[in-house]
Amino acid sequence: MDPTPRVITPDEVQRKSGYQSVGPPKRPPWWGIDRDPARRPGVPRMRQPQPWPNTRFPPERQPGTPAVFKHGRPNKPFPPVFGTSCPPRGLSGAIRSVAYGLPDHYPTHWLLLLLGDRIESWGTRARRILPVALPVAILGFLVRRALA
Amino acid sequence: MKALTYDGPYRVKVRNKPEPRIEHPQDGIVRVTAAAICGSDLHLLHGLIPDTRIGFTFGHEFTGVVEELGPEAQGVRKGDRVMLPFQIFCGGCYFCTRGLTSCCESTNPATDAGTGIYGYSHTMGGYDGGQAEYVRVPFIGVDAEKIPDDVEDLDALPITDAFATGYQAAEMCELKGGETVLVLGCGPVGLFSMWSAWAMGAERVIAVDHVDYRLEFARNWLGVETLNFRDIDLVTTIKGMTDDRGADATVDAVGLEAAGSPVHRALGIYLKLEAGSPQALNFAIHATRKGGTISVIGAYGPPYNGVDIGTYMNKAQRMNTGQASVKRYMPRLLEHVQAGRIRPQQVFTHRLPLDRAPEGYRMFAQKRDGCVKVALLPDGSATLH
Repeated sequence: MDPTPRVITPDEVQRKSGYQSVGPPKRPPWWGIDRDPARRPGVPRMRQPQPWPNTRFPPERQPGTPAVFKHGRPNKPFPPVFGTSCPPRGLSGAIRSVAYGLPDHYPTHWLLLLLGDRIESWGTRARRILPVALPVAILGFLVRRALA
Repeated sequence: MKALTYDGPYRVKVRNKPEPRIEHPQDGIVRVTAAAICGSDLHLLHGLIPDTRIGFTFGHEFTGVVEELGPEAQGVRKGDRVMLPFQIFCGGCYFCTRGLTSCCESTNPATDAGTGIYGYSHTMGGYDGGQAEYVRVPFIGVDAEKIPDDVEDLDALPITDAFATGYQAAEMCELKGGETVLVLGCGPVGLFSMWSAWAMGAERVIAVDHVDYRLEFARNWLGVETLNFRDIDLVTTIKGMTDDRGADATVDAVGLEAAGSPVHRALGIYLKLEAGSPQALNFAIHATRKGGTISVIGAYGPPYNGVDIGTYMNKAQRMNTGQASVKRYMPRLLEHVQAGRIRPQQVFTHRLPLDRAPEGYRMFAQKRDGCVKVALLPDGSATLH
């Protein structure tokens, strides 16, 4: 490990700056504690292969129906574990199904997913508002007509 | 059980949902004691992440107690206090064995771009998140890390995402000691990046944001220099501070909702013609010196962004990216907490019961009331200070 580098002083910071810093830096007492790369857990980034403790690999396939689609990679196996929250339904589900027919490097894949999101959102909002808004609108129309 | 649920862009509600159940022999069920709202949850809230479904529960940063275990779950016992990395990984695939747990091949069919993540849309696997009373935890024996007795839940909570992400961001700057590090964004990840840059021997740490109270928090908590880019020309100022060269390394801890360019915000955030605003990346490219390093930890959505790639190429810079492979960082970060070098819970300016989660989201998103980070306490058992 290299020797500790010369550290700029707060005064120097102020002199060198092209502006006036709001405050001079205050280095903490533990400054440089992980300066040695050997203390950094992510170095090297790709380590020699070794399984994590308690790993049972390959995992067995999860039973049940996934709520998530596989994107359009015909040769990619479906992973053994998957999410089951909020299964696709209705028009938004159909759009998502089409979107996932395309691989994820196609912009259309993502744009269709965003379209599916908006349709689900508008549909949910409409289902909540319409039972109240529709009778009120009809009543208003009838009253106006009667008054006319 | 009570759980926060997505109700369409800009709307979340706490509703009753069925309790999760064991769906795979290596699953576990965890009773959540504390869950944080992450800055990247706001991207979901704002409808910027594709395939975010109505009724879905957010929350990828949580701690809890093991309630139930599948027949093949080993390494943890019922009643253990645990913290879970935000990503779900198997521990045995090509990437997991090489340490890149954030790239696990066993948990997400929806995209090749990432592994399964709790509460982060169906693009990231469709797993309900931890902003709920209970959560299903696949591969619990591999993924869960026990919380030592002398570490409080709220100190462990940021290690599951924000602290590990910030640490990896600083690590990706490839610091050897003596560098000037620019950190874009003074949210929790940015703050932990600054802490980590000091720990890795940075000579100067310069924090950038446009929200004054966050800059003040960074200044007070970590002693860094601060710049509000609304007041200055950021790139010119940084060059002026660094012998006209630029920072040695820059961390993008902002992601796709960056301020600083009305054009990019209009195109990316409001019109969705690009994947959010890439302004933080463009700031980073221009404010980093030639041959310098850019560490991208901010979340960006698919499929493309208007990034100034020409300048990036001409300046011979290097970009390191990737979601944090949290599990590998947990022991080191716990060591720092136990040694008293940091109290991560100090970033939680707001601690709310789960019922008030929507209020927490609004406050966090609108940067009101000095909010830096919100902790939700579903059962009120997390240690409070």
